Amino acid sequence: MLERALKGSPRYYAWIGFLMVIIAIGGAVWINQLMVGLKITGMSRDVSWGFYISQFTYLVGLAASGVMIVLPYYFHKYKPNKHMVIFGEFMAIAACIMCLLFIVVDIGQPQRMLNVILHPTPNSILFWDMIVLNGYLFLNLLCGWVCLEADRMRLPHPKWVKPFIIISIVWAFSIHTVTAFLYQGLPGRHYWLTAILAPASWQARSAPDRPSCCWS
Amino acid sequence: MKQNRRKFIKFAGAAAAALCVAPNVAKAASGGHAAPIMTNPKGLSAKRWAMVIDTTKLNTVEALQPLIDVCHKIHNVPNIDSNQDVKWLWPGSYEETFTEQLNPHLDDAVKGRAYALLCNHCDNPPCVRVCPTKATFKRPDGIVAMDYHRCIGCRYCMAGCPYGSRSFNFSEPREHFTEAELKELDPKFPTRMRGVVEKCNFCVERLAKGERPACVEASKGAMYFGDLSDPESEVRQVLRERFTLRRKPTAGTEPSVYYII
Repeated sequence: MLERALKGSPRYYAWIGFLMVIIAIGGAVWINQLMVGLKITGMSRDVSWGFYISQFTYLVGLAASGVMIVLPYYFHKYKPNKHMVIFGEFMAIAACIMCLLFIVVDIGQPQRMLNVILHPTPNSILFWDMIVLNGYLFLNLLCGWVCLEADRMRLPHPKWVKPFIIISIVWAFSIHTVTAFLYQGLPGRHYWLTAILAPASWQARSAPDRPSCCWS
Repeated sequence: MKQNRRKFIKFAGAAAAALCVAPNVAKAASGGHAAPIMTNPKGLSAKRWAMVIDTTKLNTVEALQPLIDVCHKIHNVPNIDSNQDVKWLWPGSYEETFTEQLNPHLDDAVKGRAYALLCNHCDNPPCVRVCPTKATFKRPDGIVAMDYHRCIGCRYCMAGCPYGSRSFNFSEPREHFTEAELKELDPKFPTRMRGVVEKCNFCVERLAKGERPACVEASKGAMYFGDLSDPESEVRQVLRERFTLRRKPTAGTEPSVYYII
């Protein structure tokens, strides 16, 4: 099935080439950051979290919004969405991977990132954020891969996948709630120090622009 | 018969796995145990270290500079001239210090003072609560300490601290020392690496040897340091005699640094 991504028209190759150039530029800048330090980001004590974390937050909402495509078929039996479910799941996988990568590039000592798993700290919301994001990634990988394989074999989707998909729908609400909890409990950020932040983020993340990113 | 044996073996395997995992989960939830400590008999100990700063005596940037210099010297803090600077002790204006006690007609003398700001070693520290690796932790004597080798540099603690006491090493700290300064680095205290957060540590390495914090000694009596839970300590005595304020009390962090106004 991989040959569908590797073979195409010259226009397709030009587009992929353009994306590769952008990836190469990003990679070079990241290697520079690894060698020199986070000072190149321009962040400071007052702005200790900048574009990296704001992009991470946006993509968490995007990953959760994949659920908007899955919901109509599984909860409301809306047939036209049946074959779009996979699309929603793979978009969520891509968004989840980007979330985790944004965290990796933002922390000052990325080689120590396994410390969050080696020294679990349940009182820290960042620990729970890691758990729910990786769990959502795993769920979507499992469901998306199995359903895609079934589609390739022109077989119906296996029945045991359905509970995992239902869990992933509920889990999607948890990932952006936990990410909002990250900001809610910070005495150093008075504007966010309110319990209304998580429900307010649901409203923002259900906005039409999130799932519409995949319609195009 | 076969089905029952398979079920039993599956169940036994799952139970054995759970028995292996359960004590580790319980240990992780309880916070783990530190290695045994050998205390220095000369060391100072307390149940809750606290500091009282007399701002009627210590109130100008010129008076504060020697304290800042000695703190940064013995802890090898680099001098970076940008908004990515690292500071353990620094001067602040009244508006920056007491953001919850402002009014349009403040006493000029109080308003014009420079206040010595540092980590407040809170009793309910938000930085400890949010650290995902327990790299910043509260010691039994109340001091909020840091493990620079465990810190992953996520800066969550910096977002949590309402006082701005924490500094991130955006660049390699040693590149901000001149050749001469590099030779004079204090070998008794480690320099940090880039990508970790640091802050005032109430001179724990000096307390362990029986010495008071360097800024307290350099202040020549303008700063008091002692055990807040001991009613006869010098901090409790001075707190009984003089009116004091703490920074941002409504944040609920219970800071341990008091300011005599």
